[in-house]
Amino acid sequence: MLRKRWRILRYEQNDAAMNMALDDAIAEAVAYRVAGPTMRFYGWEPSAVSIGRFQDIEEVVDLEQCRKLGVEVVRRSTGGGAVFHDQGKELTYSVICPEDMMPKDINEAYREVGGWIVNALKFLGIEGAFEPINDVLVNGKKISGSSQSRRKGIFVQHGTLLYDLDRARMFSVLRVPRDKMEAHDLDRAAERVTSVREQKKVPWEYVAAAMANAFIMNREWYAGDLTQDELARAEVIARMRYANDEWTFER
Amino acid sequence: MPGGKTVALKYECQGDQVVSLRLSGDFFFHPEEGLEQLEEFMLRERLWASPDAEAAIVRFLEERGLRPIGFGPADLAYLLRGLRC
Repeated sequence: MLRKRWRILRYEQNDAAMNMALDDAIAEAVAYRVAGPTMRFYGWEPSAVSIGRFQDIEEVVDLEQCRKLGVEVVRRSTGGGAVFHDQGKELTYSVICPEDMMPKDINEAYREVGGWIVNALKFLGIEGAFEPINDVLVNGKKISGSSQSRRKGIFVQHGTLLYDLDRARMFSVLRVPRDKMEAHDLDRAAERVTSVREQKKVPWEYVAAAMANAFIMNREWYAGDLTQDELARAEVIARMRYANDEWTFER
Repeated sequence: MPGGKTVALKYECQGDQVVSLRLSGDFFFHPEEGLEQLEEFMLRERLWASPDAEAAIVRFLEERGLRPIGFGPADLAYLLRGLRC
């Protein structure tokens, strides 16, 4: 049963490469059964854009603008779209566990974790709805997106909840792909996102607490820490993969 | 694509030969490493010239347990039809 008990890691901020590498290192530890299922809640220092595994970096990120603003760029190991992780303006989560603890069907698993985010919003008095494939919307606007992978029997899903929103800054670093521009111009793309603070003026700490409470609801859990082995492994993965231009500029 | 996903096909020609082919976009593909296998397959089999590229892609995905999310074989077949050097 211990294998089913969730380790909840305390909130911390890291650079982009380390944030992505930590998910991989924890997934390895879970795969080797030296760690149990784990949930992380984290931020990005400095701000960063994470792009999906298969995205063409030049198509979706204004690299020059990122350099000007000191915004890092990292390619995730998971698919999905580009996300601007503006420091202090969003909350990122990861759920890492053996695959058999989550629905076998990929879309159902998105729905399951999406439901936890909908519950977190409910705790804050905000009505959200899961929108397939991988989004949560409030009043038709995206407030949360997520991305999932399954490797070596381990389920990893990471995603974000927008707390606050600087649209001009966000859409100065993100490029909207050409085919999406045809349907709606950049201003309309910016109008299609919202944040917790636009819906309700609550402190960031309330949001963090609501997320944690929604994620652990009806689950056995304990507050834990990363092990030294996980940290050491993450540092290697960060250097070799996520901070490596060969990886970042792969597509 | 349904679900608002984007998928793009980029290719490189040398003379009238396609020498490389790459898919990009905000879609999902499980397992992720399988996308390169699919790209290699489409190039090796010259699927743009195939009368039934969609069926060939379906078979390839099924045999290897690969699963795209956000696009399907019919979408790829459609993109391949437009491939010209």
